Amino acid sequence: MLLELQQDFRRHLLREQAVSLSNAVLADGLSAQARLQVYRNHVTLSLREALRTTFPVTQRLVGEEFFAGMARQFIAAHPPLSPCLSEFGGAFPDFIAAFPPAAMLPYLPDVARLEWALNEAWHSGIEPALEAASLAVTDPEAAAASTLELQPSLRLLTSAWPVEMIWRANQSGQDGSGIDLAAGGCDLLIWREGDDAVFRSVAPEAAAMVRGLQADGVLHSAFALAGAAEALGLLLANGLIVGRRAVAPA
Amino acid sequence: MAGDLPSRAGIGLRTAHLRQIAAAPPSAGFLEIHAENYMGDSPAVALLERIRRDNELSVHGVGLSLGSAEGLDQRHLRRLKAVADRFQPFLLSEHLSWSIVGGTYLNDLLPLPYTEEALALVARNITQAQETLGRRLLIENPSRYLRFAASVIPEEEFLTELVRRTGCGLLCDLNNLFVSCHNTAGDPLRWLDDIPAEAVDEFHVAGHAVNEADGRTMLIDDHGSHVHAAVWRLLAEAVARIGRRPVLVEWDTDVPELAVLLAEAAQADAVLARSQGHRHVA
Amino acid sequence: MKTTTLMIAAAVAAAATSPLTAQAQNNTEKCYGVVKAGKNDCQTATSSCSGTSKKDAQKDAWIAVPKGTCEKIVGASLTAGK
Repeated sequence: MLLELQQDFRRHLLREQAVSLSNAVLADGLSAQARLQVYRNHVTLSLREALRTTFPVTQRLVGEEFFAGMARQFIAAHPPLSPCLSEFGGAFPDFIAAFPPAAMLPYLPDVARLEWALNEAWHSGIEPALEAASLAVTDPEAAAASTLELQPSLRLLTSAWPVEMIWRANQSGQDGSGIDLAAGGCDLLIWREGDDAVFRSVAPEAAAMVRGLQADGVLHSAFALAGAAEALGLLLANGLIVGRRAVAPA
Repeated sequence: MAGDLPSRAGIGLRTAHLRQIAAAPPSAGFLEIHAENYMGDSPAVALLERIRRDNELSVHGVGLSLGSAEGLDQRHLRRLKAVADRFQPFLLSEHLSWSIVGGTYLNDLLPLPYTEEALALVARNITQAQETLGRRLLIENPSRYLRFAASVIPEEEFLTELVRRTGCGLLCDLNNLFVSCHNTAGDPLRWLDDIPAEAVDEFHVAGHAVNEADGRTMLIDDHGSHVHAAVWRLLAEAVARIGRRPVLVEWDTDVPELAVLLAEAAQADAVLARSQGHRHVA
Repeated sequence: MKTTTLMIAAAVAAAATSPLTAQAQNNTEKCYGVVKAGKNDCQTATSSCSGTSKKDAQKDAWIAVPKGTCEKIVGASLTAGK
């Protein structure tokens, strides 16, 4: 009984299908519909507000009204799975990519991916960084077979579009102009630094190395690339390497 | 039970004020957080640890969904326990409502029909939550915008029975009580007369909005303004019947400057001070 | 293999000792202060703990045209949905 009522309530709130709760709800001098609408307003508006908080640049690019319509459809298709709203919206970038009215803005999903990565990074902890000196090795074989562990906040975004420039042009105080899509793509490293989430663009070699490290952590598979030493230096200098372990010989 | 609680007014700890409060403890009896904001590992969690050293803290959950017909989300329950264990609050509270069905979190405190089935279910969920948490939960009366045809148990009786079956305490939200009684033709004073005074460990007060619908007014519990005079009066009535308890001022929408919140808390302290306290005869 | 191994070892050694620190810490974009936390505490009316007095004004006939700063981006077409 209670379960059916809650399922009907959910269908009504998310407009999944038309369900009549009129028999279940007393009118009490005001229509059941008007009473239910209070709950529906809150669910829709509060979840949209959560998305706006996580995806401010995405909203600025498309405007409030378009964002509201897109968010409403996303919320119905992908309602939150957790009561922690900072974890809500991970599926939004892919949803945007498949959302026909946004197809004319091919860079939009990557802007949303950057915003999601910043959100995730900000909510990640910071592990004590590995000192550069402890990476200095005397045994080359051991060095090659090491695995490196990265900060839990570290994310990598590779985009065919200048999302870094787009993001910057849409911060408060900027008017969003001066972006030419012909500027091309970028590789961005995103992580948490102190109380902030930060990102910076890196060379493709560094991105490839980080991708390799994220895949299996093993240094040599990530490292057979020119310019990788510089990338390693970047990770070290920003405290993004938190551990190193020797791999047991196969 | 309520003997060593600070029977003072506290304020909701809102992110806009985190840094200010971390820099200097405010003149409030305690601070209350929403548990769900501190379940990750963000810088806000680190700030809260610093704040906790200088302030009494209560933890208010908004997402446990004690009324879920499918039972509790065990992962979320464990995360709530982690927050409580980490910050050692003097009070831990949740709501008489539901928000999760089929694995979907609907981000609202949705109403329950007050039936025997719901009573048994909520009692079971509260018992399980208290066992896992290793703590007593306070259960808050929700703001309601409708009544179910199936409801046969008055809310005050429903809460009384939950206390009896589970040993939980009560969080008496006077704004919610005022809003619910207005929207569903209830009697707040009778409600206050009928709940077990000794189980009440906290009061909440907040502002509400007045909406028009079909030519009638519907009160919405939006926590977006000063506490209404009628709700202050209801707090005085509650203190007279139940006794002095910690009072939390909630302000969540259009959050004002910290000084405004503290002035509101001072007003709550004045209500506590004026009260003769505890006329209730068991 | 041997050459690769040596190269890696050299690179690790170089990275571990090179004074890249100052240089590497430039060029980051900062985002999010502590004030951005707290989606559940209705900082922006997102909590479940309080109601929403605003009404969802969305009409069913939604005109799906982006109208934001995307109009200022050069090289993008606002008409051709590919």
